[in-house]
Amino acid sequence: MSKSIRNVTVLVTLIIIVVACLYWYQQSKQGETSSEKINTPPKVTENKTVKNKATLEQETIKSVSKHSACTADPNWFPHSQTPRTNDAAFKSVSNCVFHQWAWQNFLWLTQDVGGQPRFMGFKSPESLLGLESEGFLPRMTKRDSNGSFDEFLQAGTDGIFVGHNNRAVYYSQYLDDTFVQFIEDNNLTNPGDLRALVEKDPTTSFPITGTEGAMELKASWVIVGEGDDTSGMFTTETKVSKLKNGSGGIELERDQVESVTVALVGFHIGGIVEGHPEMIWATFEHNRNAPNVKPGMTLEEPVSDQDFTFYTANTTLADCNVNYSSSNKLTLNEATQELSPITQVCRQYQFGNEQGVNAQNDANIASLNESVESFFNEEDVWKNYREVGAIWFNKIDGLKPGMSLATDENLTGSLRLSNSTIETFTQVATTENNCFRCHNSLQQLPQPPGLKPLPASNLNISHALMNIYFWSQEDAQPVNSASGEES
Amino acid sequence: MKSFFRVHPSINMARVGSSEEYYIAPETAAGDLLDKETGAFGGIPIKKGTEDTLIDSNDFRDAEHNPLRQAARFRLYAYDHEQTEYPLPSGKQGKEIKIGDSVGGKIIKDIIWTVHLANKKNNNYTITDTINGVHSEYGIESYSIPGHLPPVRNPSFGNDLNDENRRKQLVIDAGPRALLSSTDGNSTIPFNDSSVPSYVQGSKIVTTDSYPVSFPDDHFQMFNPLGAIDSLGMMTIEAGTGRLIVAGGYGKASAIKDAQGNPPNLCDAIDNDGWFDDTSDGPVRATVVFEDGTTSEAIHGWVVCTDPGYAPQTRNVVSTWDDIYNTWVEELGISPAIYNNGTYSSEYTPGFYQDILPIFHGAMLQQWNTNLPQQAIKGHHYMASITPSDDPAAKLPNLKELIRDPNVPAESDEGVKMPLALGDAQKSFLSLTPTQYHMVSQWYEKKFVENGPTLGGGEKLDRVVMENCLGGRYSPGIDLTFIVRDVNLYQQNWQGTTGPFRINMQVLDYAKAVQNSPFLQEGYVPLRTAQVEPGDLCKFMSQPWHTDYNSCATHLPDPNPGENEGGNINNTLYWSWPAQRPVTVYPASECTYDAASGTWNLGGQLYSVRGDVVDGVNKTETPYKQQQGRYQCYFDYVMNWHKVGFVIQGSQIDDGQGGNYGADKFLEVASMFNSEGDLVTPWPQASKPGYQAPTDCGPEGSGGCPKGES
Repeated sequence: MSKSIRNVTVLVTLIIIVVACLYWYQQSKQGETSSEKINTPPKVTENKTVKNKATLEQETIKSVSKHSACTADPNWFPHSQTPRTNDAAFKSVSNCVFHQWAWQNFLWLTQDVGGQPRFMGFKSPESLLGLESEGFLPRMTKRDSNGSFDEFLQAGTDGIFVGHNNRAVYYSQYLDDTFVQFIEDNNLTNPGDLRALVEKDPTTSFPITGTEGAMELKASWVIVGEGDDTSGMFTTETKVSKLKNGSGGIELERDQVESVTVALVGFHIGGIVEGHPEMIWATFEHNRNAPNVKPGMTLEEPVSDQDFTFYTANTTLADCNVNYSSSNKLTLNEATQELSPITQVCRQYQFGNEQGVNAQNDANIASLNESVESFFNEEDVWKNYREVGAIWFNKIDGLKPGMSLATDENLTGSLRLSNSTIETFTQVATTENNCFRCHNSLQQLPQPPGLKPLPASNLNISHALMNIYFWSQEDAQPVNSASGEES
Repeated sequence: MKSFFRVHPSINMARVGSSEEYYIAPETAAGDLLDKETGAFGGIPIKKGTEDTLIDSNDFRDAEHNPLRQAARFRLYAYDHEQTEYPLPSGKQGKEIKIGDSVGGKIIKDIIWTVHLANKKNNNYTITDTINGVHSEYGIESYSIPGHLPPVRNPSFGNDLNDENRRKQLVIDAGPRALLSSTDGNSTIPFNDSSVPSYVQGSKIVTTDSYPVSFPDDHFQMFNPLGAIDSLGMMTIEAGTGRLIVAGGYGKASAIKDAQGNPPNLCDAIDNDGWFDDTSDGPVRATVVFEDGTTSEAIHGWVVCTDPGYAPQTRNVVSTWDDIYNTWVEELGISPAIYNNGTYSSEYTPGFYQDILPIFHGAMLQQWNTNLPQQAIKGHHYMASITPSDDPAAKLPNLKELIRDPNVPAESDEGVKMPLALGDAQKSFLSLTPTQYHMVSQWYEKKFVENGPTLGGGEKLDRVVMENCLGGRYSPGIDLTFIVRDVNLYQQNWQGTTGPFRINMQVLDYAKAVQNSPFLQEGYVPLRTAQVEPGDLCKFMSQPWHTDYNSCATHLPDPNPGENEGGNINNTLYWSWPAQRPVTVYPASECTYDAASGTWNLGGQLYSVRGDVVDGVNKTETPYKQQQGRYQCYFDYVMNWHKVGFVIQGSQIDDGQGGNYGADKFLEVASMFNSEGDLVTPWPQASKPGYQAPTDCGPEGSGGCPKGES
């Protein structure tokens, strides 16, 4: 190559970089700081799937102006052929691309693989410790703590989310191959090795292997019975641990399992992409879960005059998202496994932002939800799930050890993001009102006194890894000496 | 050297109760694990008439269900060596004395105890102030600006606190009473109009009809919803020991009626003009009379009567002791080994069990008075499980990441660090004192000893009493307030006979008292040199105490991080003073018995202040979390304060099954509320807009409260 050609190449490359940077800057400004009023009616896509009056009411924010429409890539469809995202090539060029990443992965993860959604074939955090049985069977271990396959307490709040059939809502966690490989390659199920790794280099982050970034997932499941309306919901047969009235309140009874049908109502995706070791944290919900709280609504007002899966028409906001776990008012009938009272759920922020904050983010989600829905086959059950929002850092490679992330200083996207079925009780209080409030890089202290803490590190962002770290220590302890806590 | 005497504790706390009966203030510290075998923690009050028999769950109320008062017990110690260091070395720590003992070759014939109680709350400055146009609580800062003082309470009586009319009418002054130790419990002197003031002259007690005893009903047409404030308590001698017992008032609140016969409203959390209560404080003096006719005046103590102790065993992470000690360390040179020439010593070795573990235990015990979630509770237990043999860094990888540094002002805004409670005036969150933080830092650097120096009996009492009181957040507080950080409050020449932590008492010449002329002056003013008179300590507390107690359950931080334009406004509610003012409790009645194991399981939580259902209405209930756990109208708390239950270790609670509830629990007993109140949910809760405070609050005829106040 001649020198002149090389110069031209360099020049063109520089121009491309500058243009790309300018574009990115504009998109970022548009997507992350715009508070422009949404006043252009959306292009309404015909909806032929299960869509009742309740779901129509949900869409209080619609997609917006033509220049900012955030839409699905037609190449994602058909759903059976959605490719996984190329996380190594991810460019943080706009707010929209983060939501596109979320939706593309939701599609990929929910593809039918061997008769079940792809994510259900993933390993769980427990399975890496050799503790997993099959399907939704609870772990049959000596540990008293709640396992990832049969959680019934919501993270951090002790809260039991009771469905409207009086049954507890259950949770399960999954890890993608990249995450699993990272654990296995570094022998991180050995707590000493993990501690040594973060002590040696606390900036160690989860990898992108090839094009696939490490990913952790969490799903929420409602037990359904005969007569329950499960139209438009993904359902599966599984086994769950029964509950009992124990000395510490309502507890899992690990040696008693029950075969049930469960329906997926919520889904978290946390994944690594280039430039974002903090992970993009995105969440999805079934479209009939709960009504959105309208801005300015007072506690005395009914949130909706419609019924939802987890909301009874005309329930006031004061009676929504009530956590009974500190009181003696939550009761369990061990024979029927029915809990009372039921939880009335309201989604505090439709797309994870307060009114007037990051409005373009919310508009992008609304637009993308509509767009994706329009591509689905009529019969595809996943058509009835929606992205609620996603949140990530507003800086490239901004994660550092020891970040509390207690304020929004480093964050963008859906700043008040909660899944109404997974973080039901913590949607409002500023200390826990988005993913990063708890998913941070601070040191992690154990719950049982006999365990060792983990110093601050970038890896602490993953609660799946933190669970592995503490569970692996608990399993090395004598029986009944540990009492771990789900996180 | 000539022997000398000191009263101990240097400051002791009495607490109001509506019963004539009383128990004795605890002489062990909350948060101190007294017995590893039984798990017994300190802080439990002592049964009347006993050396150290602890009260149990049946001792908080009398037969008529009135809460007992907490009396302060004072002892007299003799010392043979002048003090040159703190703490006193072994062999120089003095000993408690009584009649018949020989001290310095002379036999003690009797001891004359003299106490003077007063309440100056209505002749003082307001707690809130306006600085640079901003109305807020500034604590001692209000007194630090040249030419500036806060507004006075009751300005309709004029703005001069030395004005004779103000002092005469607005000060409750029971006057002095003197009592011989030899009465041995056979004489009780009330601080009211029915007893004649008395004091010591030489080796005798003299009475005086001239002393201007003053109670509100002497001067005003009063509104007395709980009965007239006509007594500030009583004093007697503990039979068999010669020690002094001082009990305070009855928890009353009264107000001056206007010309139409109506009481004033009661709408402010702290400053309510025209309202009196029957708390008090004053000097405790002892005159030793020898058989040879000579006398010796002991170094005085001080008694303070304040709010009830509803959770005596829950230690404040920052106690009044911590604030007092920090002041003495930094400003009065009490321990050059810790702090000298403006610098904390990197070589100082705190005692793990005295200086470090109580902080962790304080954190652990908060669970019994707050709605902490399990994750936090277990985190606290993890910290409390640390032993001296543990490598600190192995238990806690990064100290600074966990505990707020009081030397870095910006950290008071960081809600993720510990202690996770509301901060002092003009600070969002609570911090350890610099001395506490230094000690914890030294421990973290492995520079500590397992046990610090053993304190003398008197010294230990001085410390323990203040360890059982609230520190750190003086807005204004419950027991004492920001004045404990003012060196002017104390006699600063602590070396020699005086000793540390003594109030800078104004010596009063009672022979000069004149009937109808107020005897007490304005007295102590923070950061100024006027000496301290009776009533000068409690006058900086809420007027009356009931309103601040009712108010201070949970609040938003003030200042609220993020409230500046463009900030992320914090809406999470935090606790004010949960160790002293329980927010939520675990009632023993909610626990369930496991017959198989013979143990009790913890039940649900209820708000401590949860009201009664009367005609279908509970005056505490509201859907707004920022207002739950308290009466929506202050006056309703005045009328119901006596119903609040008490929190005590389960081992002190008879379970009716031949056992107890277990030392691993601290449960509420003796609540008189008939309702479960609002639902308690685990922290965090959010403050939500839309709350409408009632405007028709009592008392009747007061006109209620303006919108937004209650």
